[in-house]
Amino acid sequence: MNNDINNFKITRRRALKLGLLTAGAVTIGEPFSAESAQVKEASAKSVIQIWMWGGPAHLDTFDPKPQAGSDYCGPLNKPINTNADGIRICEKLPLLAKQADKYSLIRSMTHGINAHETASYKVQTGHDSGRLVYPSAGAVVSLLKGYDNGYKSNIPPYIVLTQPQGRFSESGFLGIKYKPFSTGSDPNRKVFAVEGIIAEGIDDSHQLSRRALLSSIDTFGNVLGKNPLFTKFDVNEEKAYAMMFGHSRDVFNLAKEKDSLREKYGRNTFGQSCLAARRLVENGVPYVTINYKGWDTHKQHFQTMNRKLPEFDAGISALLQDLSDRGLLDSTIIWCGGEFGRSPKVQWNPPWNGGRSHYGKCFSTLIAGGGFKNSVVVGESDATGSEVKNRPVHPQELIASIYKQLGIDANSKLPNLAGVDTKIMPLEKGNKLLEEIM
Amino acid sequence: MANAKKISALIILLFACAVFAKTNQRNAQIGYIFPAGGKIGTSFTVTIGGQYLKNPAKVIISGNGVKASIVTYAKPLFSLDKEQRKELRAAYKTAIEYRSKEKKGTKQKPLSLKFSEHMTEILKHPLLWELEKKSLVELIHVQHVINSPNSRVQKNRQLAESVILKLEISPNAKPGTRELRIQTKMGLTNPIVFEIGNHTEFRELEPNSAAVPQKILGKIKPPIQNPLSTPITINGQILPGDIDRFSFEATKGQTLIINAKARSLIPFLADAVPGWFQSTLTLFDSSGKKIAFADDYRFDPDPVIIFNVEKTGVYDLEITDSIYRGREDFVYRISIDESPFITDIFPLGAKMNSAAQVKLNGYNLIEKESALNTKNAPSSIRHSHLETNKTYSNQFSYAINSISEIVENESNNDLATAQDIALPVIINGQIKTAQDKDFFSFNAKTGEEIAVQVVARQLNSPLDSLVRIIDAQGKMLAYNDDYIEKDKYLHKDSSGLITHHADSYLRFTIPADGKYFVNICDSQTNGSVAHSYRLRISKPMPDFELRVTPSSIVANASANIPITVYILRKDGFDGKIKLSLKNSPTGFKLSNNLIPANCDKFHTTLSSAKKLPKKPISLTFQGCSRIDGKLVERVALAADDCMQAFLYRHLVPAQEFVVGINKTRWQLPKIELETKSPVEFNSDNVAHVNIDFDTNKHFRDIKLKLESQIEGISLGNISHNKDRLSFEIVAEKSKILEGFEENLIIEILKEITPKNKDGKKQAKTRLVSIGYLPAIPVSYKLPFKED
Repeated sequence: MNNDINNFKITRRRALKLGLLTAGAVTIGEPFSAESAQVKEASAKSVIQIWMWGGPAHLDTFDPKPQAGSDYCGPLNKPINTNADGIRICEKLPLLAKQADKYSLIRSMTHGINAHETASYKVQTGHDSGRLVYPSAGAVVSLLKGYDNGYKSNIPPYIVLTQPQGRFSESGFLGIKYKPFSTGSDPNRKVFAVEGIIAEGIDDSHQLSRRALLSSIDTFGNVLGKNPLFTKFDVNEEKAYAMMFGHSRDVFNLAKEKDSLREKYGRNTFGQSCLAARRLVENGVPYVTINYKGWDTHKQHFQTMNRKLPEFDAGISALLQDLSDRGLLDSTIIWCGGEFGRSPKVQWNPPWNGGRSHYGKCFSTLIAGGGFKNSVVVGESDATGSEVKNRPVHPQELIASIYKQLGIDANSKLPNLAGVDTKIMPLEKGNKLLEEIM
Repeated sequence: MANAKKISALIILLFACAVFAKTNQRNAQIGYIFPAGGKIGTSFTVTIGGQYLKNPAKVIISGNGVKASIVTYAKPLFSLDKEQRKELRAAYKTAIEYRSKEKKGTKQKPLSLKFSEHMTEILKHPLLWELEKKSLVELIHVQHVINSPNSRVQKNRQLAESVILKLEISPNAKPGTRELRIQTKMGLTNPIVFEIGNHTEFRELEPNSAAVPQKILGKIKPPIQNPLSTPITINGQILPGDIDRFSFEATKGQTLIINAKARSLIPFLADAVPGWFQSTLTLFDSSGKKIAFADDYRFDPDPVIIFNVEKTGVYDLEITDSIYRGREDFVYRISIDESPFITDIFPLGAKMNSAAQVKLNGYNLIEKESALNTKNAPSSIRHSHLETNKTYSNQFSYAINSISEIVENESNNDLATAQDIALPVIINGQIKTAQDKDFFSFNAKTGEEIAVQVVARQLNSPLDSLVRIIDAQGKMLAYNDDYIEKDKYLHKDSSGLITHHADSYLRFTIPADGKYFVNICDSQTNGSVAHSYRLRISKPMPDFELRVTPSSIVANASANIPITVYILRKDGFDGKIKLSLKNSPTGFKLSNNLIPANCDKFHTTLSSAKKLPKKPISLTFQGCSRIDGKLVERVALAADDCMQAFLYRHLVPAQEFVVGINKTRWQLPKIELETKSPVEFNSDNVAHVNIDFDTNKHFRDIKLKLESQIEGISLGNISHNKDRLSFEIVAEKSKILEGFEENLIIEILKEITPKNKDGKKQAKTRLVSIGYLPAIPVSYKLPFKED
């Protein structure tokens, strides 16, 4: 009997199930040994990563520089005080300003990379680009806090709301098993039709009758039912259906929330993604990424900010408040930022006409919850936000700090099929954890 | 009367300030020209699309034989109001009815469309220009574009303004490329390339793709386009999703060269990925069967199809973007002809002042050889073409160098059969097959430095070279695949257009006396007679090239205009270079002209005299340095720093450095640096600068701003009295390296309170630029005070 899956023909339906289940990190192969990747006592259980795809302008979010003049600030030159002493943020974020007692800001993030792909890779893996493709923080958490290490839920341990990031391989050398499960659809729609779980317009009885029909015509599978490979398929199929018809499906049902709360988050894709993220971590999902697009503002940046920042403001501030109200903020890390910042100097000339370009030399990140201290500003940029003035923070320092809060030993080995001796998040000489907020 | 004069002076100052303010960030900019060329001996209109083109005053065209006049300027056509749409709808209706009747043979009075004054400016837009002359199909296309909710007129502000020009090409004009610039009140634009050819020109008429007509024309059948006769040059634009299709006649036995030019017209787009219009050509036979496709020609993004016609008939040619993007600046020209097409030459160059011939390969070639111009050319790349009976081939490139040259001697495919050479030498060779690996051997002594340089891709060879240095024991000591000279994201290759830097280069110090080998092969394991190379093996031959940016500036009288000079240092050259203006043109001088040792990017200012020439002029810069005891002069190429795909930048050469003359009566007072020596810092890390600045009351309360941010340098206190301006430059010790030299470019700003229409001053003041100080050389030689 040939057990090689690559040489084995399976039905389209089985392939779909397989795809769902591998995306859901339910193993069909042997799990990686995590003996060397130690998970210790943690202050945080989950991470919600708000990935501001494209790179948000640090000057127009968390690091305003009104004194730098209009060439740098454009019209956004009146930052507002927050409820934390000495912290001011962009005037377009008034709700977030009232939540500054729940987060800290890093204003000295740096890696110097100005290309989306390599910067995304650096910020999400903490590693420089090279021959070995490292996994993102989400995939590492999926490895160490997922199915291989006691996670039992039918909901995959690494979820992306709503679209895959697409700029790099999230799972890296860990393989497809640790890729995030991307929900698809839009949580702001009447039915959040999560791909493979909720089929819009098909009721449960219809779906179950389809399963029965499938089973009756799957003669090949029935004949070879005792084959170990088929047994695994069947187990996975059971899990998939459990996810489709059990409690897991309810987690994605935002209609179960009060309308007033949904309004508070904002009736848009981002706001409702924040709400869905809260529901996921509430149900034990260790890593959720909200892939929040639209920050690559090369042109007409300020018009985009006028539209984007209020939406961002409502979503993230509601998330912080909601997590806090439910006692979840202490165990949930909120990591909010993009692959880089944007050029401090506004490009007024054509073809940009008031745009900001990529800027990896200095940018900002918001970090909250999970045992991180609140109301602290780590690092400082110079007068125009062009350079890191003090305490440069590299992505690997931030990721290692997040791992620490999750109880993951960043210096332990990261298993890989290539057999290369790699560590989870080794810090280079001069790098250190974010002790200021830990 | 005196008051009137004062008011007049103030108005002029304010106007001039506005000009300067805009020139800083809002330079007049051309995005495209359509059509991007024309036939010798004809006159025609072209549309220029860009931004800040209002009030076009002058058209400047490089070379000879082309005259231009401005027909009109048109504002962006972004938002038509309800009334304007209504008027346009009525006009379309009238015009379409008229053309429909005309088609049926009904006699009518000449078509006359009437519009209100409200429409005057709008009707200047190229889409609506001369509406009465448009054909039925054109009218329907215009109607579709304007009225469609998914209008293909995108809101790209950088392309939204238009200028219509009339161009006249003299019968005596030489074919080739020209550069066109427009001077407006906002400055002088960047150059845009257009071509002069000798074929009949055809301008596409939308809609002309296979699918669109049925969709938008409804019951009206588009006129059947008669097949085009070759030779022909087709001009078009690709809008989003656009596929342009043309029919042409071909005769059995012809070898037609179907050559598209798109990327070569507009080499880089800053705001598109990939960073140019990536055109594709598809050829169909009369039955609709696809018979050829091209999306490039070797490594050149512009596609070429060599069409050996086996059957006389009508063929269709389609052009589109490879990923179906489109925009007004996706402009193309496709020539279909039997002109000579050179695919490769050998050798790729010759020794200076030698009698050299190259062998030519290609299609439709009558001549199989061509003589090279080798006269007094220090290490340069030259271009040529074949010309027979007013038929012109494509261009080929070759290099001229000063050292001995040999030709590769096969078989030399391994260490044992390596060809012996004596240094210094340039070897002209070919990687003829995928297995071909050329080996050369030479003797060298301990400590000798050897430079190995491949010049192939720069001369249009498809070779992607890989060179290795190997010792007598067969051990590889050094290798290089691609050599990229860049500064962060700025690629500084000599052509400015290459995005795959395939040519290899390395320098190596010989570890011990003995025999050494240089091996060259194709890193992609390809080979053909076209895979030619020039391989230089010699001691380092220090040299330099210069690029001056931007290639277009505008000068007021008594102004200082910033320019940037890039230094391409070769074979380790690190010396100082004296920059000067060739032929000492009247009216201009360089403020500070000594490029420091090791400097790769030099900022300075070009200072204009009180009295300037009336017409735009072209300036030539040159650099002079002493290398190995010899005086070396190199002419600087004008270039523009162009961005590709949001990130990468390239120094794209221009044909000339043009200075437009601004005739405003207003001018800055005389500004002279008190000393021409570099300003030095005192023990407090502060340098004091004094400038003779003949200020009057309009120039009090000025502010200064560093044009480019230099890490660790800031401006300190400013003070001025009647004829002197003093200010401080402050250095931050931790960020400045001792011994570093730099020119500071400082902008002069003035706070102005604009007035409302009623003459009252507005509440807000704003800073406007009124010019620049002459470049100020600073030197960080003194030991800094310890913090």
